[in-house]
Amino acid sequence: MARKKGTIRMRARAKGGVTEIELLINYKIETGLVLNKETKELEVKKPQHFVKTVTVSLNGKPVVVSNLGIASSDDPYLAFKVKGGKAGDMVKVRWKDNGGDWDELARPVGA
Amino acid sequence: MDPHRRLVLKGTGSLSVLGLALAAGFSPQKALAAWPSGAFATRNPKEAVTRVEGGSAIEMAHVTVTAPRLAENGAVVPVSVESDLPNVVSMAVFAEENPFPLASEFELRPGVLPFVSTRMRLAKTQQIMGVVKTADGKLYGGKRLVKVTIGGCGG
Repeated sequence: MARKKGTIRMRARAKGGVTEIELLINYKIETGLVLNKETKELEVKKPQHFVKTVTVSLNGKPVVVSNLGIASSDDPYLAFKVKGGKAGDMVKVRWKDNGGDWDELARPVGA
Repeated sequence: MDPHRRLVLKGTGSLSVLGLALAAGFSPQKALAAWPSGAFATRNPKEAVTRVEGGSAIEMAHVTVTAPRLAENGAVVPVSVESDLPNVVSMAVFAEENPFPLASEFELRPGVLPFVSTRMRLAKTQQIMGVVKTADGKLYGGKRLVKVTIGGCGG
């Protein structure tokens, strides 16, 4: 359970009355899956390591809560569109993983 | 709040962690309760949908799933789900042939457009289904077939 630093890259732009938020989290996922050679099924046999929740806030108000699992790619990427918003509005992103590690980043919306 | 927090920070290892979480204005318990563990844990696609979005019948309309027709690397497949409906309160992405079909779920607050773009793992060639729920509890869905050359779920 530790605060990670500098794991989030974010781009937020206001365009035509819509704020587009794109984010990329530097994170290596461990699905924990191992192929069972007899049943040919993927089973969880190793410790898992994945981003569980990603919350996006605009001007202090949560706008999107993302619940993710092991099917996210490494370095999870997410993009959303929020009505309204203008250059200078503050976007905050916070992620938390299944082990309690987390990071957050706040930055203003660009034009 | 503050004196209490100081007290907690002075406590043992596990307590300090809790103190840090509280100091950051974050309740771990709340987050855990919100994450739909049952839906993520099931191997049954239908059950995954029911557990995360409720049991209503899905009308296959008003939802567009965008993804490449052919994904050479199943570990990184860009997928977007979009709807033309108003009042969408949540969206979810399912991969029926993955060991655990629910890939991601998004709760949208008012003002968020019904659009989400992500990158996901696909174990094999399959249909990706996007499901959206409107404020009245109705479910709508859309599908898109993605052919996968190399599976992305490990093994």
